[in-house]
Amino acid sequence: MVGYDLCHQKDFDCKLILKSKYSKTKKILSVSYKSLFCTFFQIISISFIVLDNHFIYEAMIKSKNYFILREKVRSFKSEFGIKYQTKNNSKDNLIMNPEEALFLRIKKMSANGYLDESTIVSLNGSNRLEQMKNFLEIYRNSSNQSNTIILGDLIHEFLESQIDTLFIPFTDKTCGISNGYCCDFALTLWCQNQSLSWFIYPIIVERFDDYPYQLNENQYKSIKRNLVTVEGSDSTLINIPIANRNGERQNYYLFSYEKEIFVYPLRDVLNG
Amino acid sequence: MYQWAFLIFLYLIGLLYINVLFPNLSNNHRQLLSPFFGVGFSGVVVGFLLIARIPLSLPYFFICLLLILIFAKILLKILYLHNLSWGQLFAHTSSNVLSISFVLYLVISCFFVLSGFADASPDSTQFEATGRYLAQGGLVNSSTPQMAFMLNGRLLIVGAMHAMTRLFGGYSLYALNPTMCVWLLLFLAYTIFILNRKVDNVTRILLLLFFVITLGFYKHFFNGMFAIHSNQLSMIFFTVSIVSLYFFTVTEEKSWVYIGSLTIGFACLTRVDMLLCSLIFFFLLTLIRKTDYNMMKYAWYIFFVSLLPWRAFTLYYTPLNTWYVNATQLYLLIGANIILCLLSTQLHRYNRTPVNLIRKSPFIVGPIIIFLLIFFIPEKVELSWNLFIKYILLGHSTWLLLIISLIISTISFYYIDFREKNYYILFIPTGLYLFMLFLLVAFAGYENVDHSASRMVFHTVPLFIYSLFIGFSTAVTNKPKTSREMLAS
Repeated sequence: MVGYDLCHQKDFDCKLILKSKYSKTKKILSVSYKSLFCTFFQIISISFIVLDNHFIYEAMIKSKNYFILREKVRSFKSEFGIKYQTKNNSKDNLIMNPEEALFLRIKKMSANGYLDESTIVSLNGSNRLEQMKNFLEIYRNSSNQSNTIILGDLIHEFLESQIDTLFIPFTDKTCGISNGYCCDFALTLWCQNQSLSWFIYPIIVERFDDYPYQLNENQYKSIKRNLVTVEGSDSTLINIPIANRNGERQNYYLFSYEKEIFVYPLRDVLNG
Repeated sequence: MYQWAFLIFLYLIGLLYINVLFPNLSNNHRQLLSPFFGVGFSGVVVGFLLIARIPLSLPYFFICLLLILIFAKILLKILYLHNLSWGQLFAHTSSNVLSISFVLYLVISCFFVLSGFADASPDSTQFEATGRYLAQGGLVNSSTPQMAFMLNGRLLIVGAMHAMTRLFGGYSLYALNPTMCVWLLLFLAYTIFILNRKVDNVTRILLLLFFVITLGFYKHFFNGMFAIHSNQLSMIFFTVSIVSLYFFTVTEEKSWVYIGSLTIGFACLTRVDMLLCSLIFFFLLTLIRKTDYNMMKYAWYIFFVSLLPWRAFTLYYTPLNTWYVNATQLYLLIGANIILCLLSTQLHRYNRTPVNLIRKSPFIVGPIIIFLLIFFIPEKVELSWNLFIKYILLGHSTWLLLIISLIISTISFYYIDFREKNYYILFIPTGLYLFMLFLLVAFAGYENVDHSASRMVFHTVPLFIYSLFIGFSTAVTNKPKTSREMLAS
């Protein structure tokens, strides 16, 4: 009997007050009901976000039930046509056999690669070595474009003052017009090689394939000395010559031998 | 450690700028916003040097930074807005440096620099390459390979940050995004704490912690902040701009509108597709009843002054037919902003803003647009339906959960909107943004090729979660009135 305490006047007024209080009480209850209803839905909404928590996910993926549930959800999605499959989702899939796609191979590889630490310390100091190691740790095996920038980084660090023009054999003839984005070189992919021009600016990068860019065994043996060697993505070894930093600028060329690449002057390779 | 020095520099320079531009904001707010301002203004300075065809170097950078600061200060003095002397300004800034906020920033940034953890993708290599190109004296030059792509895809702000790291002696930039994302989390948590002033302290702290855990450990946010990309900074600027609008409605402090328009300008300098988000920002600003003609005008001025010089410059180097963003698309995006500018300012000029009608317009215009598209270009709608809705939103479990959450929260939206009139500002952008992404994929998507819309959904995540928490606290704290209160009313 809400409101009787205030209702001590005439009967008529009292009835009015009671009526008004009754409707307002109903209103209060309705507001409270709505508030509860709303809070409930807000909590449910937040729960969906909380469910997608990094740590919950990490814990979940360790359980077998998760994979069973995931497969069920996926088959449910496919049944209702929800999951739309693109035929070629990634640039990594440009090569014909998907099993050979770089991102699949990368998953099988270890993150640590070879780094010619003593030579780098003697040339650039230990501080630079630490920074370079961190850079390589971030970018090595991260994508099909990482070899391009690891090569660029090494050229900038060790040969910046030596090179006038760098010739790379990534032309339509060697890479194929349709696959212009990626080139298969030294048994791995080199994609978005335009980044190389940005990376080693002001060195000029020229696409040119009219030179023997695949080394034979003798040439390989003769130039495989006095080099800084760093392991790039996909176990590719990148070799940079230790040049006289005060020497004159000259043109350098990109060569390959199996899974190794070399940045070297053409004359030295031919003479070697 | 050079990278750490650069991150500290961003905070300090942001603090200096924010002290010049918005001295009337509370100290905590200025401190929490300063790193974002540091990033934005450093990017603007790099853009200014590129436009002026001056090779990037630290002396030129500092001179230009100082010139812009002096210009801003003189302009504010002329406009009689603030008149802080140089002495006061530097005293103010140096006293700000001795604060908990700054120490916290030092710790966070140092942690991420030392951890050395980052997630590189194919695009990261191009951001890194752009930074190296600029730091090694590269200028905008039509003979440089893929210059249009570099300008519209990898510049301005993220490329500029990579370049500045190199100039500061750093090797490669990786700690900026996690530092800024954590700082955004702190900023949002602080605003939740402030907005729930009427609630008791224990509930406030619990709410704050719940928010920090929910957003901070949200899978996509937690993992995404380590990525070397432009999505993180775009997300930060977009979120700050919309939250600023909400803060304006709560505090009625004009500065928040200008902060919002400046940060949405920075967002558009980070990614070209954020020009769609600026439409959302100004649409919401038009809806706020407290917005007047002058405020609207100045907000647009700030936005265009920060954005147009760079965009005009990039347009000059962008061909009509290019594989990335082409000139026509740029004209369309800028043109849409100019049209909205004219409409919104004119509506406010004659004080005839039909707020209720505009408020309902997305629900009327959206279906009309879809209907027209189905009628004229059904293949594009089908493409977007397949690529964006089926493959991205429903196909990726993380986005599917987000969409379910969005749909469920819509049920309670009407109740909260009735209790808190400005809730619309926080809740609606997610829906509008997803609709715009649908249109973006329809016009710029290609069959059988992945679209960056998948990453772009990320831009709205913090804002959506923030809106859920504001909605939650509104629903919880809006206790029904007692009978006496009802009688009194």
